[in-house]
Amino acid sequence: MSVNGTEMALLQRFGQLNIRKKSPKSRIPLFKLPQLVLLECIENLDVLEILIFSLLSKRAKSTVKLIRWNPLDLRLKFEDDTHICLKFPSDPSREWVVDYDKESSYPYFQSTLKGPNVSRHLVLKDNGNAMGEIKQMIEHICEVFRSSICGIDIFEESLIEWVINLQSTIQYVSINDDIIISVQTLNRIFKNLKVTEFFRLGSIKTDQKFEITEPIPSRLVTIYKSYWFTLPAILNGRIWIIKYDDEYNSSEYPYFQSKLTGPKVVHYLLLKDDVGAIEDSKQMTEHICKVFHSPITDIQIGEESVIEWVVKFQPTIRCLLIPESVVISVETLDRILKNIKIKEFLMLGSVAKDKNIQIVEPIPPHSIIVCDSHWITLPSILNGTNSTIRLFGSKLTPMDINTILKEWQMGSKLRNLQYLEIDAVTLEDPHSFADETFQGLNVTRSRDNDGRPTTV
Amino acid sequence: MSSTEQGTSSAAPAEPTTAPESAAAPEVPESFYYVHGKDKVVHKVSAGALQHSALIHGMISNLGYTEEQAKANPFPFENIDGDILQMVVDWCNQHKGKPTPPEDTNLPKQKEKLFDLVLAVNYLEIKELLTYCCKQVAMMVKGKSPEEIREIWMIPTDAEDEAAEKEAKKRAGKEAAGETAAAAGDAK
Repeated sequence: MSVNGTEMALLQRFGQLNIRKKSPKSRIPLFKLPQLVLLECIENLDVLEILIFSLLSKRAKSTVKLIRWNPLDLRLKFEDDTHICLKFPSDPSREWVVDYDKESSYPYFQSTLKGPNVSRHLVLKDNGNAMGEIKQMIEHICEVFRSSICGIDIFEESLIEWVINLQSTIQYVSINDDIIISVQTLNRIFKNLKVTEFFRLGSIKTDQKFEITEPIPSRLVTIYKSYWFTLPAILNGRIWIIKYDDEYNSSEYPYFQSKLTGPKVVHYLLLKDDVGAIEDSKQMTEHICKVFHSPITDIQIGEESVIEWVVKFQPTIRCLLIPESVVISVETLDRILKNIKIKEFLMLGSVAKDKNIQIVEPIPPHSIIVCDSHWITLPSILNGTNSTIRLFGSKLTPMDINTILKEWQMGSKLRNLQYLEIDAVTLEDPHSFADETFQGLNVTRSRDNDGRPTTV
Repeated sequence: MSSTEQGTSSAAPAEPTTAPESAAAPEVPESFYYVHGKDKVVHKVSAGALQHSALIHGMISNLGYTEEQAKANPFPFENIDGDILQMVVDWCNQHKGKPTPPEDTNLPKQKEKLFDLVLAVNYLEIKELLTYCCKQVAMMVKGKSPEEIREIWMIPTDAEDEAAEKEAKKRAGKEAAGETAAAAGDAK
């Protein structure tokens, strides 16, 4: 499709010819602002909002192109569905995702949290031609943000020719099983697509007998059913092949093992899990910290007793995770809050319910997830400086939540808060609970968390 | 906050009331200047407050006006509505001698006036206030759908842009033809 054709298709999609005629209360003629002011306004938008804005008209697109954006890391991923994932290399904790959904009837936003990382999704309707639209959207993003594709999952044959024509050098390429059905296509890829970092090649569906003797220039290569890949291809290249094997069964300890997940390789040293594995792991950690002059950055607690060791060994830590399966006592909770300084992220599982406890002091880490948060009170939240709060099993009343929302909206408290999620336990009628919670607030009712910004 | 009263023109400004002094009195008496907008209402503003505006600061830095001269020669900003200038003056007074915090709660919130405020602030070159105003403009479309963004920011469609461009070309052509005819008439 020509560039103009692509543009027109995208513009049609955003309803240029079907504008609602209702007049919102506040409007501003953006294009009548001086150009530098106009550009500064656009720079304050979120990546997905910039994307939407750039699709509104040719003039909007050319305006966005005037801004010098930091290049985006763009990946086309295929998991259950297809996603276009965008990140700034300088801030990997935030991700913007363009999704296509057959169910949705209009573009809407959705935010999800994975630990301390935020993903903001723009969900567009899949009109049955998602593949064509994804290609157009990627071309549009590359042009507007002056970025290139960083990685691509090839899950349909048509993507091969498209990517070769669009961008012949890519860092990461993964081709799914049975996408390549001829030797000609395989040769075309090797000759025309330069994969610099990681190349994953699924099985090839062809009856032809063939051999490849030329090296593959990528740094890391994984090939499935690689009968066609010959010794000269390996010897003439600079590649590092790690073959997947079945689970290594060894009675001999210790032993080494390497695993490849996407472009990442992880080397394992496996030690025998004797009765004292927890004690051994503490000693090993202390040894590693000493030898490499490195602190522990993140720790996931598998047993309550480890907390006491953390308090003594390293009371300042970046992330502390206590999974739901580890039920800690009230005393341990108190010890964590008073004696461990957690800088970034705290995830707390369950606290034993044998004693009544209420915490009124703020919980300091930037991001907190508390699975069984019956002990967290209103003052603890209001006086905090957290940026992400996720409470499950909360006993906060609708009045408490209403106060939190109002204070957050006014901005005098909770000034750092970017994301709040409260899963409250109630015996009340859900409607009256919701009414009381949102009393006096201007609530926008929409799908999921449609439209809520996740950044300040 | 400075109070104001109706003036008639720059030649005869009425006596305005003064802005409140800061708690700590400066050792050197502070100099004041006078500005008015389209409505001719004269605002008395201290030189310290006016430092926020690069435009006015540049104008006054080499004047060396006495109090009487300053009063007799208020700076006219005929392109700025009186209520907008009042907002700007209030903001400059509130932030005299101190940096603007990232979230400034003292700033005007009226979205209806935002467009005029942005133009005025840009003209007066008040960088910090302009940054805040631009954030406010961006906030108007936070989380909105494409159609809503188009409405709020009044983005024309391509067809509307093309029609406007044609119209502008047509008008320019007519004007050029008119000028040529007038020039020919003069020559005769």
